[in-house]
Amino acid sequence: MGSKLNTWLDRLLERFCDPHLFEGIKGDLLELYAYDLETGSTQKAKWRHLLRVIGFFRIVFLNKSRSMLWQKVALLRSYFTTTWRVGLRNKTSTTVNLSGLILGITACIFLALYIHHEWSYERHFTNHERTYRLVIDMEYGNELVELAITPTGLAHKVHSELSQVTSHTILRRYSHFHFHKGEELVSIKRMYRTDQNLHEIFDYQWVAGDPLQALKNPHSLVVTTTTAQRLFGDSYALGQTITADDGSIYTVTGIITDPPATSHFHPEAFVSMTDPTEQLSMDAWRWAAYIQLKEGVQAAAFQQELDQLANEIFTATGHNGRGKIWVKMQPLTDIHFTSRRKFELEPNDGNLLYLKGFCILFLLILLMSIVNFINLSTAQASQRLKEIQVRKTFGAFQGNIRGQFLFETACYVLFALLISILLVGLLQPAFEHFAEVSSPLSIDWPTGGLVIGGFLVLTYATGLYPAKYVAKLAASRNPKTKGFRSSLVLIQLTLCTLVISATTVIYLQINFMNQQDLGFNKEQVMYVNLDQSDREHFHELSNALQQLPAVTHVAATYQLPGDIPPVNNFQFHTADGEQKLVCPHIYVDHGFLDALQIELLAGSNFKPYRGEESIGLIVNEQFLRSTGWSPQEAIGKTLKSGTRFEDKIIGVIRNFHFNSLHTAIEPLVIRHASGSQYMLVRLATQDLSATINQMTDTWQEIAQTPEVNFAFLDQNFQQQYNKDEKRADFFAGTSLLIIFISLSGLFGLSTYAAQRRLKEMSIRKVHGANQWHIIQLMTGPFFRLSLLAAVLATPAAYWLLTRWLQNFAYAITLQWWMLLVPVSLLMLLVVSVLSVKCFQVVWINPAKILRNE
Amino acid sequence: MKGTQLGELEELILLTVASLYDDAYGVAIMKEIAERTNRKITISTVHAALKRLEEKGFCTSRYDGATPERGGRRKHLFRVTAAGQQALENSRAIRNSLWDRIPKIAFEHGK
Repeated sequence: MGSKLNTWLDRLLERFCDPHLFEGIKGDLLELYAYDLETGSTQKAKWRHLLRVIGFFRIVFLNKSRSMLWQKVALLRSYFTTTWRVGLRNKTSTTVNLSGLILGITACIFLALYIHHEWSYERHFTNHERTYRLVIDMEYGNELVELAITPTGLAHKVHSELSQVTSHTILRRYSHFHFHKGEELVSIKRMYRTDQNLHEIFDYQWVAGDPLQALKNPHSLVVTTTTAQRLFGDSYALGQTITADDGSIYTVTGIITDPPATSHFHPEAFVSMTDPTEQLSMDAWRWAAYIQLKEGVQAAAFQQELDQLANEIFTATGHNGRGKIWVKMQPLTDIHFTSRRKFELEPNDGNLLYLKGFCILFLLILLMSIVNFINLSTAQASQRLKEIQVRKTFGAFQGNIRGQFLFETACYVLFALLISILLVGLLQPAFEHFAEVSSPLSIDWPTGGLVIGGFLVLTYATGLYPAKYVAKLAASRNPKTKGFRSSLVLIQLTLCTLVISATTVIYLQINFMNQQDLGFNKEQVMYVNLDQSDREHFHELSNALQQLPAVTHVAATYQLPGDIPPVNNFQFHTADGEQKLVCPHIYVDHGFLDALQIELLAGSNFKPYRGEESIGLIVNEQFLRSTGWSPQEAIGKTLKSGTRFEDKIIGVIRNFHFNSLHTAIEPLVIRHASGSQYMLVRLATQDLSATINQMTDTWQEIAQTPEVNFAFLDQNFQQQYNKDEKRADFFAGTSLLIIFISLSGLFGLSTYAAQRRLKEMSIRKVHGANQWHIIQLMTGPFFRLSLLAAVLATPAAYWLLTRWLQNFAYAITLQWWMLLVPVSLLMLLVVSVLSVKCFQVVWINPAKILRNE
Repeated sequence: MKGTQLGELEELILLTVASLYDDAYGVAIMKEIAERTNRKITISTVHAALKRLEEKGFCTSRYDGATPERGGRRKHLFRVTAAGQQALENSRAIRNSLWDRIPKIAFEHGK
């Protein structure tokens, strides 16, 4: 029956349409609908009905004088005027309210951008949800070693044996690759060797070249646009050849756009495999392997088949003899956050804990602004009792009053939102620079939707309670909100205590990491990346530099502390028989230990290289821990690597941190090298610039290098902590915001309390209350609340921070004062904020207040 | 007043209201026009025009005659006022005088 037809559009029309006209309109609509039902399908009739209803909306907008819409607009205009006037009258609380909201929203937008950035890791690859990295777990005795690298042929084998796999590729990083560009030596820090299947897993955007063919032939080079610019300048890179510093020639076969930073590896260039048959070998454990599964394949079920296959493979190769080897799968999108394996391509610094932390901060800031708003508007509402009573007398229902106050909130929120968006636009470059996040802010439908959604949610979250409260206010004269307000303040103060403690501990930890004894002295050491000519003149340079008074030591090395050293496996004999250890090894010369002031525990340093005789190895203490030797026993023991290399240990050094304190110290083998990639120069001087000038002059005289770039080792090392420091700053910034918002809310509340209790306090004073008594009365409730907050927050802070510190291999231990100091600090802040208004009450002459009574 | 002129559609609708006499409401007018002139106009267009005509004082309206297919709602019935009649006659007179002024030769195409 037609009369049942009542869609939301009909209701909307009814709401805004002149009621006098509506009956006729509705009747006509239903008559036509009934006619349509007789002649066609229900569906079609409904469609035609909806179109007709939409057509009728023009009547709503045409008839200004009678339409309900225009009446509503007039009402809203009156509400707006009221909002404007009330806002102007209470300047303090308006400012507090608005600034809280603006800061809150702005911070939230930035946090949201950051969270989005972290979340978007790897998601730009088309089939990221079906892509996995193969990794290896090795169990030797009691020890489980988790590796990010696999034997070369593993991925290929898995692909060919298991039908669920659609494609695979492998990657291996070369930290330093040097190309000649005319006279200059260009160093590529992140060069990846890969096979021709790269494009099947990692679909980069190709500017030039054929993705299918580009990496097929040996000595093919695929570069990013930035690398192309660095190597070839403005000339067209595709098809050009370039010579590496070892004399081999590479041809550029492809150019890709710079890959997004949101990936666990950041290639500057890809180079093809030198030997296609190498891809099938099971010996070289160096490769990160990636596979893609067919759609709908369950990872867990596939893992079982993979286990079986891995067992077969490693039994066949004989690797399973001494220990157990598992092949595991990591979802591509998890690598950035969770993978902390040995020999990662690049350190993965994503941290789900941080991300969760930032999400929580995001909610906290929002909560703080909302709480502030609710507190202040309910506190203020009692001042507007008269206005509300008058409105009610003139016929406003509770619903109207509610609507009015909700509208007021909407005005505030809208204003704050607009200012925030403006602020975000202004501050965005600074934010991107600071957070190292590229966040393309675009004005599109989803963003618009988010803004509107955010506006609605904020309006209702902040406005609903005050509106309901105000609407009821007139009905009963004694609304109970003091308890509610107190609990909101309690929440605010608890959170404040929490974030202050957290900030303190985070900074202490960062400071600890910077001050930690690394086992070597990184201060006053400079390094130079050497080019071909420098290397040819290395000994002359070294001798000449050592003549300078400010230079104490000169050394050569292939790896800098802070870089990721290459790995190798070493075999040796212990009491338990032949053993194997995969560990990093570095190549240095005899000056290295002195230049970095690394302590020798036993044996001796390398001797200056003179001929063909074996020169020995140096290992660190950690290495001995895996072998069970004492430093003295270790001297003279033989280490083998494959069939080609064999040498004796001549020295043992104290452990030193080759990498950041995120990672524990690993076994390390130091090998002698006669050549070098970097020169290290230890200085003993106050006048750096003069020394650098002297060094540059000497250098240019001997090696004829047009430009020498000296850099500081401690800065290179420090870069590993950049992200930690940025996060700490970021966290501190948001914490400050939270504290600021809460305290400003408290200030607003105390202002209101002071206003309300001015008369009461004046009467008390007249009756002989002293100043101390007044202060107690005024600040007492807030003070008790902050004490309670401290009691609540301290255990929570302890629990959270202990968990956070577990992230570091070397961490501070929590001390009681680390939690007590923040609590006292907060108390101090609360008291100082309260005292501003409190003293006004204390100092005012009671006669001034009571004169009119 | 600008609104006293009759638009082409308004004239059509006002004429239809007059011809339907006591049964001139939205749907009926729409159907009548569709039948007589082969012009499909939407129901909301009819209503909008009727509202303008009423505001100009060319017709009056009342509610009467609920039927089941209208969901129990009454019809919004329109009737032409004297002013409306005057306006219709005016526009007819204007047309007639223009017709009268056309010389015979103007329509003798190609003769």
